Amino acid sequence: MSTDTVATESDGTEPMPKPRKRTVRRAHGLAGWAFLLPALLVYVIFLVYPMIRSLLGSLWDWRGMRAQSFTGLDNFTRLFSGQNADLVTNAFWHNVLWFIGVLVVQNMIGLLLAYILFVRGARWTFFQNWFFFPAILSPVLVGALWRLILTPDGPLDGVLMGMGITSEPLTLLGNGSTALWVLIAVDIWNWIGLPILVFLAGLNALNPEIFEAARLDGASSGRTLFQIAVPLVTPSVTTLAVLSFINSFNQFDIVYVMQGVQGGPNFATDTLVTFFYRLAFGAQGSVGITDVGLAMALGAILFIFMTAVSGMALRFFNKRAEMIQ
Amino acid sequence: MNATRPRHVPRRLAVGAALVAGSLAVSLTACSPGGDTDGSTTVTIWSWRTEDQAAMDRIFDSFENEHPEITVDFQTIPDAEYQNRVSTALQGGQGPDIVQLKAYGELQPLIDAALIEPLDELVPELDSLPDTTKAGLRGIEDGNLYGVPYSIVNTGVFYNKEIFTANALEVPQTYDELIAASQTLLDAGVIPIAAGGANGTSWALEMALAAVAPSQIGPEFYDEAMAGKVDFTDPRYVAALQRMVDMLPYYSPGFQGVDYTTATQQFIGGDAAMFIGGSYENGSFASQNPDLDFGFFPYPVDDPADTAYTSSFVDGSYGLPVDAEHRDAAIEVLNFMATAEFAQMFMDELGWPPARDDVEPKNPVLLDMMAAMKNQTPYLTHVGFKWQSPTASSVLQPAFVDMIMGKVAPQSVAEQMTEAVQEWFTPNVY
Repeated sequence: MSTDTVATESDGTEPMPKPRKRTVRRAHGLAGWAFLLPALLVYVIFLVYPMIRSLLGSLWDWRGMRAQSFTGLDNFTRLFSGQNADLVTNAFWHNVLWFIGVLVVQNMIGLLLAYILFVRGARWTFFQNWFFFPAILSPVLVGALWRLILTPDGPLDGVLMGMGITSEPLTLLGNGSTALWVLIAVDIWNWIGLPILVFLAGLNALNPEIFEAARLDGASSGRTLFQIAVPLVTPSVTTLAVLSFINSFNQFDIVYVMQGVQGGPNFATDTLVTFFYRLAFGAQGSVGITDVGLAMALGAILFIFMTAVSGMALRFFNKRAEMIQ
Repeated sequence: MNATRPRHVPRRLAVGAALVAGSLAVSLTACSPGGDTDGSTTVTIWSWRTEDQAAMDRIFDSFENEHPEITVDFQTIPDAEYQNRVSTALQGGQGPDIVQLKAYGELQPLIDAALIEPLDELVPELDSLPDTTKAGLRGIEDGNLYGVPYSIVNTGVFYNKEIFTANALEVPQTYDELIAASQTLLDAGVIPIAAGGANGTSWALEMALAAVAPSQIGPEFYDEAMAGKVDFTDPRYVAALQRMVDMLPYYSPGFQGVDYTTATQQFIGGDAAMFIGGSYENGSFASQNPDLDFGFFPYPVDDPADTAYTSSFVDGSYGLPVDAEHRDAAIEVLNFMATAEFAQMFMDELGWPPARDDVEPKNPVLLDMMAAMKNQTPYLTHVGFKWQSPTASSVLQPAFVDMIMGKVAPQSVAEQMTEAVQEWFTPNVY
């Protein structure tokens, strides 16, 4: 990055009699770098270097947690053959479902609630804080809390069986066909405050006269929401979509706390990162031996995939935002 | 930082930047403080047994009384993070002086990476251990012993004596008697067998299978499997898996959602009559409910003429990191941990079967366990098939709850287990 700025001759309104001389001193550049250096050092030492190392590490054979010999793409071949291939595909689709769930459900609910809060104005600030409350809790706490609520004969079963709605414990977390949806719902509950906050900020930034005009023209509140508010908060949607994507594909903590590192039952809630964790660090309950080479290969793929998709999404949305403006 | 300041950079700026960079460098090279208090050498031990902290502290207090020049600092890290923390710390040379080690296959990565020392010369007492115990401490490539074992765990059925007496039940001698007793208990409104493996705790079900399996596979199956003569698809092993399925009507209500902790609490709280698991539960059951009157029996056989066997394994050991800061003192402590004196204290404090048999068990449950130990066979999936990835357990555990719920057939689980270990298993090597 060059920090040299070019002094503009004029701003195009009226020519100046004598352009004031502005010598840009290189010293400014150096001073800037000096200020940047500590942060840059931290960044390089703790982020760039390990990243490059693990990317390179994926090309080696690891035994006993040390790189033993160069094997090229062998780890990648092993990752996509036999049982590993099934596990990778299985985990990948869970991440995709998670992403869709969060993107659609969480952001839709978030937008609706934000719009209600926006229309109601300051009198409903209490609800705004209320919705945001779970987001200040650690996902580990949230997971543990919901695990307690959902345990057989726990509070939820107590209520349902007490009211005669069910006769048997629900066991939603132990059932492979419901477990993933429960986890996604818990994640949505945990982070619902975020889209509300972002949309509310977006709505509040709009010129209130727009809504005033719509009201005078007799637009229904539904129409106002979908034809006026939604198109105008598109930049917020972009931000949230990319955030949802990154969070969904890095999903680990909720699964880890609620279903263990094996993403049980029978891999029904396994994600790419829980699979990575098992490969890199083994699993609780002495289930397996680590395979660092495979972990590095999976990490490399995950890194490249996430960077590529996020980058493309941001470019695409930026172009769209320019078009809208 | 560069010593010469470029001319245009203001002095204050250069000084500031230098300070920042300097403090950064210091913080990066900061090392952990060595813990020497009152002139004695502090030996740090890392363990995953958070629940044993108080007991281990008491055991080492008595050691410190005899060795005033050594202080033992027993530190615990939760099991879930343990392996990760240890491997990272040992590679960075920031490890403890003594480290608790897993056994068999799970021990090998640390040996392969040359992070722990062989103890054959340093702890002579290890030589007198039986071969079955040495198998859990050995490096598979060099045959050296890398740890001082603390317990040989075996498996069986814990039962609540009060509930059994109240329902006029005897300790079942055959599988049919076990089922009849379970039915009686179920009719009486008691949970017959507390069991659960939900939320990632299905290792506990694998442990229960270890107790159940010998009744179907017998004591000879292990050697046959290690010689490559049989695999998991053998009808005897499939029958063992089927046993776990057959008992479903007597497990905790809502079984597929019950986890290990909940199951143990049902037994500890007196809501369940039986719990199938490993002998390490003895201490934790007793400490969580001192009034609980319980016993232990090996899982019953089908034919009353047969002998009931128990699966056993070395739970783990204590080893010496290669760059232990207080190596000599650590070796001293390790030698103490290999004595009969330590074994006796360990057993009295924790109620686990110790790694030596020249001890006098006082605890009645322990007496039951030691009696069951007379007929033991290695815990098949743990001792035999955890040497390399993918392990048999990595297939069995995730599928366990679904298998019991009837969503996956035992035969197909057995086939997948066989297929997984075929990737690395060589007969007569392990």
